[in-house]
Amino acid sequence: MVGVDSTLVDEFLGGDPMAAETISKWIGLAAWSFRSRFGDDWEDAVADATLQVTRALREGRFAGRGTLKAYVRRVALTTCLDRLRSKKRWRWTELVEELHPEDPKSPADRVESEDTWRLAAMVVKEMSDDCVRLWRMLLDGLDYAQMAERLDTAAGTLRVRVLRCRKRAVEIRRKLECNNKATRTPE
Amino acid sequence: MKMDCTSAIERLPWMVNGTLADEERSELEAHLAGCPICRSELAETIEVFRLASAHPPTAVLVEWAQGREDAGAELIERHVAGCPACAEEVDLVREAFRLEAFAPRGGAPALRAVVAWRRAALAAAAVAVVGLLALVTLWMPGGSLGSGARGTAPLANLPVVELLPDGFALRGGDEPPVIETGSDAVALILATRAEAVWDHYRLRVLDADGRELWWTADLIRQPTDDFTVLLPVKMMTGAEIRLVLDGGGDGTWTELETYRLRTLP
Ligand SMILES: [Zn+2]
Ligand SMILES: [Zn+2]
Repeated sequence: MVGVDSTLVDEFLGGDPMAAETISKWIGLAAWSFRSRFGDDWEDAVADATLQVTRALREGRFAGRGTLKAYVRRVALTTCLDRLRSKKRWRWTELVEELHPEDPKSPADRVESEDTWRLAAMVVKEMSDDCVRLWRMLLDGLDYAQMAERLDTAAGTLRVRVLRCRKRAVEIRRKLECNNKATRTPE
Repeated sequence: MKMDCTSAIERLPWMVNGTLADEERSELEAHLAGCPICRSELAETIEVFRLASAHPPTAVLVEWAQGREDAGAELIERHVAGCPACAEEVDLVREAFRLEAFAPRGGAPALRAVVAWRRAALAAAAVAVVGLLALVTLWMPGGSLGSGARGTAPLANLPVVELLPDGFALRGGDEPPVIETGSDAVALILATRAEAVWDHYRLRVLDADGRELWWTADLIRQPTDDFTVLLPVKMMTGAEIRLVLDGGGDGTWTELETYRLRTLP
């Protein structure tokens, strides 16, 4: 860790008002662009970000690989984005919760880990463009009549196409998961 | 009419996205209640929705938005290109970076502390570049600085220009800032995205043909992640100049950022 940074961390954790002001201004700057998005909640978001930064520094999670300012900015931006995401859930998640209230895999509750995201992204990458487009329309909340009209196809044909894409996606995921396990197992 | 398994399975995606008509939905729900096969098909449908809608975790997105080229960059790029929500988040992150770089000019009270850091940086630069200051003194008409003048006083009147690295131009304008070479030197504040810490930093100034006009080593990275440099603009005759920031360690230099600047006589 660069000298000036470790001093600043010590001062901040020790309650030095100048250090606190410096770091809170960094957080305010990082969160500034979220003002219009959060409206009245902006100050809450900044308070939340400050809490996360304080916790991270107290737990010694700043390893000093980059500068302290970059680290503070990263924690603050991540906190703001998390808040933003929690505000706009997918419209289908409520239905999933309603259908499977006990399902721990309910998308709204899960914290997406990097591995989960990577696997999902690889599945999408392997899917055909047509399937990706169909699934995007579903996520955008189009009903099958609207989708059929946009794609200029019969509703029945469309439903079969979507079903085929779904099966293909599951197949790809199984294959990728299997390959992952194979590469991770030693010998 | 009772719904059969084929019709039920085919309708599941629209049940999950919440767009089935009420009647169709109740028929499907009635079927699912009595059919374990279709219930497992529903679970699979939800799983594919989850896969198709997965976004990069926010921490990953923040790093990528700031130019980190770690493994998976290609996947993120692909995703962001097709996901308006994540594209918007990336915009917000980049906006935050730009705001920081321009902070001292803004009037927002939240930016005062950073201005204070920058002032301290300027003062430090003044002490660090005594040699250059002596050079500046030489150009001053009548040696108005006087001998032994150093510290912040002569810097107070120098124009201060903040530069963002290439690739971070403000929306709607890609024109480099213009500085007048009428003054002897300009205090440059160079913002940087590079997060890694290097042993040494240097700045090279090149003209449009890539010829080196000037360089300075031993730049000090400020806690605000920027560098303050006194640029002797009188020497810069090219219409457009390029500044290259390098990071050094173990005897080699790596290019970190480039900046553009236009000079007007
Ligand atoms: Zn069935
Ligand atoms: Zn996304």
